[in-house]
This record gives sequence, C-alpha cells and structure tokens, in this order.
Amino acid sequence: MTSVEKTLIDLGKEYKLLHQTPEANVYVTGSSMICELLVPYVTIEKFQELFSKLSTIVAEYKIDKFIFDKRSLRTFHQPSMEWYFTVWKEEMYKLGLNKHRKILPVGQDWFAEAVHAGREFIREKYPDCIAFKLDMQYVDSIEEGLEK
Amino acid sequence: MDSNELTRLKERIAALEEEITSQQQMFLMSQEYLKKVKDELEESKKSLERANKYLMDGINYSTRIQRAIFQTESFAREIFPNSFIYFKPKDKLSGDVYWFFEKKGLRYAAVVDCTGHGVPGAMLVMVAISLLKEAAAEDSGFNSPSEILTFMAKAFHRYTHTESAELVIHDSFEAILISYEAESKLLRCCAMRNPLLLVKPGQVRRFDGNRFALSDIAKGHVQLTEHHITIEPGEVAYLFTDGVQDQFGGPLGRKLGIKRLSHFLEKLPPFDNFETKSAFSEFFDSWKGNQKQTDDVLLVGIQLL
Repeated sequence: MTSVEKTLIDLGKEYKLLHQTPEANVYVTGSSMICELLVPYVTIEKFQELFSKLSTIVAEYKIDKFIFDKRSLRTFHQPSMEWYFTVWKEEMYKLGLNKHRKILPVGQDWFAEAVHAGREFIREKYPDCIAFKLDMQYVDSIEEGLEK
Repeated sequence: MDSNELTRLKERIAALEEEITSQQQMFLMSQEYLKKVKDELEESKKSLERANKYLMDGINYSTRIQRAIFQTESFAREIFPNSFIYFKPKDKLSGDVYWFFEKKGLRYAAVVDCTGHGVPGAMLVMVAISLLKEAAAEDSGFNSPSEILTFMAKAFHRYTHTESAELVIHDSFEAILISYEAESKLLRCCAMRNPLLLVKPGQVRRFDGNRFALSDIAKGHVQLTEHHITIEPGEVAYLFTDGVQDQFGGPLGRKLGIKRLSHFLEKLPPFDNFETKSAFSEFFDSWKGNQKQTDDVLLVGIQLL
C-alpha cells in the first residue's frame, strides 16, 4: 500500500487505482485525480505515456482537480514541463480540469528553485498561457490537496 | 549476457544519460534565472539610488532655502540681546520655526510647531512665516499676541480648507507668542497648547496655553486668551515645541515631560546665552541617549530683565 492509498483510506475516501506503472500510480477519488510519482526521474517517453493516460482519465471521470505528487522526483525535463504547462493543461482545462495542486519534494530547496525558474521562463515565453490563470496551489500533503 | 538483457541495459544507460542531461539543463536554467534576478535587483538598486539621490538633492537644497529664510540667532539677539535658540529638526527640513520682531515699541518672539516634520512640515512652516511677517508689519493692525495668533489660525484654516473636500488637509499648528514691553516689564503671552515657563534659579512660573482646536479659533467659536505677566528680575522665558517634552529617554525610556524640564531649568545657574544653551543641549542629549529623536525640537530661552 502506498502512502497515498493509506491517506485515502484514513480519510475514508472512496477511490480507484486506475493506472499503475513503475513510474507512477494514478488514483481517482470523486472528481479529483491524484498522480503519485514513484521515481526520481521520469523519461520523456514515459512522461508522455503517463500524461496521455491522464488525459483519458480526465475526460472519462470528469476530473476538475489534479493533485500531482512529485515528492519522489529529483530531476525534471524542462521541455516536458513546457509541454505540460502550455499544451496539456490547456487541453485539460477545456475538459473541465481547472484546479491544480502540487506537492514538491521535501527538503529539496534547489529542486523548488529550479521549478520556480522553469515556471518563470515558461511565463516569459508564453505570457498568455492559460495555465497561469488557473487555480494552482502548492500543498504539503494529499490531504491538504484534497481539502484546498 | 543475452540480447534482451543488453537491450534493457542500453535503455537504462540511455535513461540515465537523459536524466543527467536534464539535471544539467535544470542547473543551467536555475543559474540563468538567478543571474536574471540578480541583474534585475542590481538595476532596481541603481534605480532606487538614482531616485534617492534625486530626492535627497531636493531635500538638501530645500534645507538650504529654509535655513536662509529662517532668522539667525544673532538677529534674534538684536531683538532680545540675552537669548538663545536650541533648534534641532528631526529630519533635515523642519516643521518648527521661531520668529522675532519689534513693533510699536514691543518686542515679540514666536515659536510655532506645524503638524508633521520633514517636507510637509517645512511647507507649512513657509505659510507660518509668511503669516508672521504679515502680522509683524507696522500697519497690520494686530497689536497683541492673541490677535496675531487668531489672525494666523483664521488664515491657516482658510488656506487648508478649500471648497473641494478632496483637497482639504487636516494639518494645523501650535504656537506660543510673547510680546514684551521693557518699560512696564509687562509680558503678554498667548499660547496654543504648550505652556510658557518663566524660570529663575529655584523658581518656575508656568502659564498654560489655550487648548482649542484651530478650526474653532478660526470660526470664532472660541477666543484665545492671553496671560499678562509682570516680569521679575532674573526671570527667563522659555518657549518650546512639544518635541522637547515628548522626547523619550532616561533610564526607563519615558517622555521627558514638562515637570522634569522645569526641574532642570530651575536648577540652572543665572542665565548666560552660551552656557545655558550648552547646558540644555547636554541635558537633552543625555536624556535622549540612544533613543530616536521623536519630533523636531525647538526651545527658545530669553532673559527679559
């Protein structure tokens, strides 16, 4: 049982584990989708496969909140992040997904700085990107992500 | 090693290479971003320095203008030969001002405290000086301290209350004005708020100021009253702004207060322009200690007889 599953059980939430790979587990509870990454790095190929699957879940389950648990991550691929921001989020917004909650690795200050830098570069390159107008919050736990 | 194992190994190596490349990109991106932020901060710093210099140049020059307009201590001694002025603005520009003049055989001294300090205080000081000069003119028709302060209150109120409600300012002034006739030894005093202290060794006579709102004076709802006092030999008149008694300091960080000020003044030796000023300066600095100066500070000492 992963920590996300344990949290969902402790909270008494009904959930489904809809997708499981060595890189990630994807759960749905109500209209929220939780993607729990399990590895320190997700290759470009696996990242695209994963997000392609997430797209189908968003459409099928009418997901309006996405909790992205990146606590295991230590490295990210900036071009993939750019695509995630400017293409995937915009497409998902059209399907009704407008709330994004993110959990960053604990104690990895430089990772957080790099995420911030990456976001700012994307913002500079795509000032009208819809992703920056969505309800996006950093949270510390799955519970907080579900609450907020 | 079979071919499947070799393929998996190659895939693993490729993934690791990609991860390392991504890490390098993250590092370079963070470095570039931090450099950008640093450049922006440096530009902001330069911009703030430029703005600060521009403002300080303006304030420094305004201070020169203000000092040029203020009367000198030696001018004050032409009116009251035995006198000193202790003047210590909180910032460069002052919201306090003193003014001396003679008119129809009477010698006048005024201490005015305009609300605020720094630039806004200094602008109001210009208004106060202009009104004092107008009142001091031989043909002004004002012949007593209360008439002059009433005139000033009315004019000040008129200047600061325009027809447009948005432009009304709620600034005001406090003042103490004395006139002295040497022949009769009669001192007339009209004060708005702060008291007049008449001090000689071992004795303090305190004459409280009116405590009316400037608007009530201006509208004629109340009338300023005067003290008419016969001066005793050796008495020194002390006129001061609230920056004196409101200064925090001492062992418990309290306000100086008028009582403590009075005690200090009555213990001073007989008046001397330089010695008394120097003693007050030492007393005030010692009281203030390491505390910040609360307000503009102005104290005028005049031995009348």
